[in-house]
Amino acid sequence: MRALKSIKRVGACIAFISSIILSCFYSSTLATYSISMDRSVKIYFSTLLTNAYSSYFFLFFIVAFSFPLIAGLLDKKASSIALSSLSLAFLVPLLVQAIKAMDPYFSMEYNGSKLTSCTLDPTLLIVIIFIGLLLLSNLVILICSAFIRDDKQ
Amino acid sequence: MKSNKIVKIINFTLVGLFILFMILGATLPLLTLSSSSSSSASKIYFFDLFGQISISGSSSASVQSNYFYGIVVIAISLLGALFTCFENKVLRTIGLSFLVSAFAFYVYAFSEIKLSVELLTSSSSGLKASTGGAAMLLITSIIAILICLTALVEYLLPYLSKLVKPKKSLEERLLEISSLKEKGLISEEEANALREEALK
Repeated sequence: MRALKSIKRVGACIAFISSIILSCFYSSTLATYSISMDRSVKIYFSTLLTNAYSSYFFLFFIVAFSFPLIAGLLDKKASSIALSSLSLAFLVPLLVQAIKAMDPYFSMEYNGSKLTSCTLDPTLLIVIIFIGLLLLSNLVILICSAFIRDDKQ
Repeated sequence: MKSNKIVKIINFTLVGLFILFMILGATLPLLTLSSSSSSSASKIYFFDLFGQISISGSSSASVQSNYFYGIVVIAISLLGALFTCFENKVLRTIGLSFLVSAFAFYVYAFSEIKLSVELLTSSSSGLKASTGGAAMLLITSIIAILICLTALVEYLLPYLSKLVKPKKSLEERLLEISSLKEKGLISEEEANALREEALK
């Protein structure tokens, strides 16, 4: 039981570090799609957020960043399961959007227009890795919480 | 005990500063745009970040603020900061997590303003942008992360002191318990309980 609680704490620490690192990349350019010589589209991390959650983007900061911490640091079984699964579900659209940002690189097409060039920044990979880490830590917290027993009052 | 008090004082000071800068960031204009050709300046406030842009005509646009989403963010930040001052472990954990999300949001808001300024100033040369309120948001986010760190230090202090303090041998511990009993500082029952604990 102690080991499970320790794993949960480690999961919460990984989620905390991933959240802080992801916060540093909001204004970083993840990809640049050049449609013509004078027209290009830049994709930022904040663009991914608005694409994934539209006007509810502010919920991302609460659900994806604070819920895994609460779930990992508190020992209540029901709340840990509920919060980590909510956070897990909330992060999936962002991961899909981040992977989708790579599509024009392979098809050389963006919104129906042919691209002259497409550059993917290494930051995109870093962002995908840290979103993956957040997802993984949520999954670990969820699994550990499922096997944990509540302390008797 | 003394170090615990110092951490608490630092925590309270940071919470006070956080609330002050948060209020300043929410009330001051985050971005003020003025052009050399016209005397009027357009301002973007905190609540405009959640609003919708409506375009009227070919060259004018206005932002409709969304107060509800803004209030949710302010409430989360305020609760997060205040909960870290409580002794209760559950409240402190919730406060810590809310502050992490507040930090992430304020950094996001600052980045958005920074990007907008870059885009606007690169597209038109006569445009001047001042980001006084956005800097307040950045300071708020830095204070939020400092509160999180002090809360973590306070949480870890008992474990750290255990690591730093050398462990007493069993013999020394038993002698200490019997001397306490002889001095009359603890009863026979308490001494027995402490002895059993030491022998575990």
